[in-house]
Amino acid sequence: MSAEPVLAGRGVTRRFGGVTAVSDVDVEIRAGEVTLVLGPNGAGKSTLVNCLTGVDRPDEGRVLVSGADVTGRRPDQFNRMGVVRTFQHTRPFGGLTVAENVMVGAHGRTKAGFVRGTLRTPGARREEAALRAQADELLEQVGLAGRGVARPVDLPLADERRVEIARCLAAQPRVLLLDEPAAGLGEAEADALADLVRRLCAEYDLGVLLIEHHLELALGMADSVVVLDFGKVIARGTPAEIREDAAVRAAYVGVEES
Amino acid sequence: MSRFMPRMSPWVAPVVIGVLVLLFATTQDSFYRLQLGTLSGIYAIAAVGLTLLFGAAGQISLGQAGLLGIAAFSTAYLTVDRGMGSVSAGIVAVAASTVVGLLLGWCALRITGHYLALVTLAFGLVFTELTRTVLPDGWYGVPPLAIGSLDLGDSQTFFVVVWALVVLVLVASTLLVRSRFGRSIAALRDDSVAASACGVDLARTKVAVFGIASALAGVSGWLFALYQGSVTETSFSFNLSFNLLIMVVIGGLGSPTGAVVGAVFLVLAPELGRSYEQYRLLSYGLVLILVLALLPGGLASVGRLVAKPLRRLRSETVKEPA
Repeated sequence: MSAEPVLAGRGVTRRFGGVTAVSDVDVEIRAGEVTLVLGPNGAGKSTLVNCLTGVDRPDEGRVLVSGADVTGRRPDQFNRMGVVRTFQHTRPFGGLTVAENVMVGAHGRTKAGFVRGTLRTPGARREEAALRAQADELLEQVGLAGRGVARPVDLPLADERRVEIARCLAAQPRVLLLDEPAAGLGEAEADALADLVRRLCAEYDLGVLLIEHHLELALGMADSVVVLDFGKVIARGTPAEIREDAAVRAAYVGVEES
Repeated sequence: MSRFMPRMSPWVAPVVIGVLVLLFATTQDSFYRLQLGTLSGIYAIAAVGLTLLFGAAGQISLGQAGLLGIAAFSTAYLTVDRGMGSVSAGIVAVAASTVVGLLLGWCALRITGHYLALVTLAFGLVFTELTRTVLPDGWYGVPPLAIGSLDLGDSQTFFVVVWALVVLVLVASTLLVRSRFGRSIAALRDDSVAASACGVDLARTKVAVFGIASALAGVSGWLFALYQGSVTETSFSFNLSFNLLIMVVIGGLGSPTGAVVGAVFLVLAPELGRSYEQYRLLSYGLVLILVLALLPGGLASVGRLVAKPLRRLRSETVKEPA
């Protein structure tokens, strides 16, 4: 295990009115490892991801990137620190092509502002050419070679999720948070997506936080697991330990497999 | 062929428009027609700004007339009362409307959709009321455009200058839409949460687009003051804001070329049907409905409809020898 987690939540708590969606949760994501967050619907998984990416702000607790306290920063600031995410419901930019969607993903680490972009200075041209080449490359990597000119709406859901992953990779991230990437996918599609995530995790030494409902699939690819129920951590450990855990079975597995 | 969206070169529309304008300017000596042509060019610049704001970035403004007005009043004040040259007055005037637009954009950070429409609408109305009470007489005797002793104010020259600016603005905004910044404003429009997660600084981006649109509104207002020779609040009522919005919509939301076409259309159409004056509003409504129903991409998409088979023809002839 590497010494310092690239992304960590410490005592993260988020309340909505009287409901505590996430309660005092600790979570760590390390480079090259997949951390799985399990839990039934409404357990606070998405809220946790939102808190860890600046989309939402925890009421209590801290969010650390490589040990530095970044609680309360905006999503674009998290992006610039190498923390990127997908959404439970895909959020493509419908007015742009697939390749342009991926290029937007690199926004945080590119520079050409509107003046240089409009004047097409040599620097802006170089940047643009590099972005296009990178978008092509990433689309190939996620299995969408040649689909760059398509519109996101013309793609099946599984491919739309691949576009979102390519969009994330364009930021050259250190941490990738995937909010139910296999939701709505068939068995084969989900397996292919799992393979992709595993490959990317190893290839780029990415820290991955995965929220997933496909239990076997998720346990098979995780290095460590955190189980939430009603916003609280009810178990944590290796996938093997989690399979044996009675509390988890009661809260989640038993329900899921009935 | 590029693997990316096959799009028209950004130079096609500006070149076509430039040629048409030169043809018009050299063959027309009717003062009346030149004036109409000039006016449509002046509005076209503001419309391009609004299409970037509303179409490309999804931020509605119902108060653009106020921004034109600020530049026009500044121009009149600086030239008439302060004796400034028309160009240096223009620089200050555009700066003034840009600053106000940036403030408006800053207000827009917390609001979207209908609320933004209401706030910008209120801004426009406040501007009209304020000028009506504070500056009820407006200004007369605004000098025509001149650079030093070089007089550019006769109707033919001014027409060409205005349209040269239109072409310049058109090229710039087309390039802008296709740049990194252009993609980021499209992302902001389509899904601001996802855009933010992609590293787009929403606040900076929104304010920047408002700034760009207001600078263009300012250029438009400056030219309007020089064109009209007088400035009164009636020229910058809600009517103008609304007309700009129609130009942008019938031209094709988000298309700078469409905004220019829309501006020309909206200025010329009422003149062509002058004897049916009383049906003007009705016909605007009809045209708007027809365009939205039959050409959701606006008048700009006519060019694309024509270009598509042409391009196919060309790529087929290229492939044949292989």
